[in-house]
Amino acid sequence: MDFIRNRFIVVNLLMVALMLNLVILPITMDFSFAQDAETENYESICQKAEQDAIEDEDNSASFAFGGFMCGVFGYIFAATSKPEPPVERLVGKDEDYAHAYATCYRQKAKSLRTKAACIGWAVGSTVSMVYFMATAESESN
Amino acid sequence: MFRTKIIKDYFLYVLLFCAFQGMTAFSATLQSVELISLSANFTKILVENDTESLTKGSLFLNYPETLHLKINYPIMQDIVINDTLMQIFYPEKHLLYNVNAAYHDKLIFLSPFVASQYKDYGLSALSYTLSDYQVENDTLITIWQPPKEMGNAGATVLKTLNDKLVNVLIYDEKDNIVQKILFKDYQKLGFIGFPGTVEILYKNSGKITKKNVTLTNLEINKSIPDSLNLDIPENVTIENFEW
Repeated sequence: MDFIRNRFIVVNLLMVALMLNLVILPITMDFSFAQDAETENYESICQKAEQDAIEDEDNSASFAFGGFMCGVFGYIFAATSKPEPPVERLVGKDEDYAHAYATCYRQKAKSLRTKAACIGWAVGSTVSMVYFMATAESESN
Repeated sequence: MFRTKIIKDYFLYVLLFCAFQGMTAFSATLQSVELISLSANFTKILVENDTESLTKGSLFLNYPETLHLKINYPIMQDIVINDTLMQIFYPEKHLLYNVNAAYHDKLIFLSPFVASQYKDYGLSALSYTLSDYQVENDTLITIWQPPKEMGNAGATVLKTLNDKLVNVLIYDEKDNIVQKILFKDYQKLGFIGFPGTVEILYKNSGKITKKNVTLTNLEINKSIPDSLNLDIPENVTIENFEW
């Protein structure tokens, strides 16, 4: 009976993790759009930087896999990673462009990485939860 | 009779040895010459979304430690990359950005120029394997397969004419061309054949982007200016960033 109770505690903890995912995921998704554009020029530079980040971070499956396997640690790893804009894109650009481009690029790339890690974490938690619930139910039967 | 057999065997071994040498020459990462330094004037034309942008300047590469770009068009800008520090200096604005990061790409748009000096375009070093080759008159076509870890990458095809790399085609896993690199205007610099122009065509946001980089007044492995570091005046605003 204690064994089944422990299983339910684990399932509850996983459900809390899933709820956290559901809260964190929208926050990180919104974060990429939270940049207040001061000027139209800044906005267009930012758009270009974000588009480039999407193209460059095309293969963020490794972060999703990290989230799936390591849960919160995968998320922390993605959140603390330091994506770097390619230097070539700053060549021949003025100081305002370079500053805006680098800032927006890094924010977007990091947002994509954390989003991928969150999705991986959510999927991992759901799979574990379903597994524990199924095994707990079969044992109680 | 016995002597004839020995001579025949000898020639057979020589032939086998030559064939083996030929095969290993294909797959080994052979570099024509060791690149120590490079200086040139450059012109970069980028055609993106029907908009053409031009950048001109000069560059000094002390490979692999330092790269100094002196841009004089469309703005005055100096970029020095040295290990983990990148400095972007705007002399007209008296502004210096110091950017620290774990890694900075020092070759930037020079990568295809440097890679062209490798017989295999540096693919062996990336764990690519030679899967096939064809010889048509003076042209050698080699087909390279990526390692399994490179998920959505497809084959890379190198076309070499008279021992000079003329084009590189990069495919995705569905056999669509994702990048085409053309090497033109080869210059003879001592023993080195170095491309003067590299043209790259690739898809960006579904549209084809064309990048053309031309190097003139090329000097390889010759003396580079004593100081590759920036000469920063005193009244400069310095902003530090951590990437």
